[in-house]
Amino acid sequence: MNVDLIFKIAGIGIVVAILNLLLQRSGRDEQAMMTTIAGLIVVMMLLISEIGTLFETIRSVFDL
Amino acid sequence: MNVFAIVGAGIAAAALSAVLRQYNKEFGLYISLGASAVILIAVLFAVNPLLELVSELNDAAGTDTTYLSILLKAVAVCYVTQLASDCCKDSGEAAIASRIDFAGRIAVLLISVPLFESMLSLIKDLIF
Repeated sequence: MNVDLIFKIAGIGIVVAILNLLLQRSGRDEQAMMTTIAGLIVVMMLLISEIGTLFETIRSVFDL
Repeated sequence: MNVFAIVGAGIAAAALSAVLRQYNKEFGLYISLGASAVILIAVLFAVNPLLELVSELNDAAGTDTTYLSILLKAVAVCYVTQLASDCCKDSGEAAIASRIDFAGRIAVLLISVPLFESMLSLIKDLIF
């Protein structure tokens, strides 16, 4: 069971939230938004491979 | 399948998602999606003996194996659409969730068309 993925996503989320807060405090709203989007893209890449594995497993278990 | 590991992972994911939702709403959705994928994969890797039992029962009953494969396909479609629709509901998109549910129902009906056809032909044979 690949529980690391959940913690990876949560870690990225915490880092992005802190960076977002710091950048917004120092008045760089555009860069804050960019970090948020970059974090989202990284997490999406992680999730896409996992969901691909899930679909592949479903396909092999239920022989679709 | 280790139930306690799955329970722990689920609770940890729920706690992390509750913490992160305050700062970043999207990450709550991503954590729930990742946790559902991880747990579903863990369950699917363990479900094989059950499927073997079902196919053994099917062999003992002497029914066609195509019917069993239709049933399994319908179950798989249900799992996938349920996952997607729950994720949409969690992120507050009830409309998309119900459209996905609808698509899943139609897909299951389409998959089970051969069953309906064979049932209808059986009824026809019985009547005439």
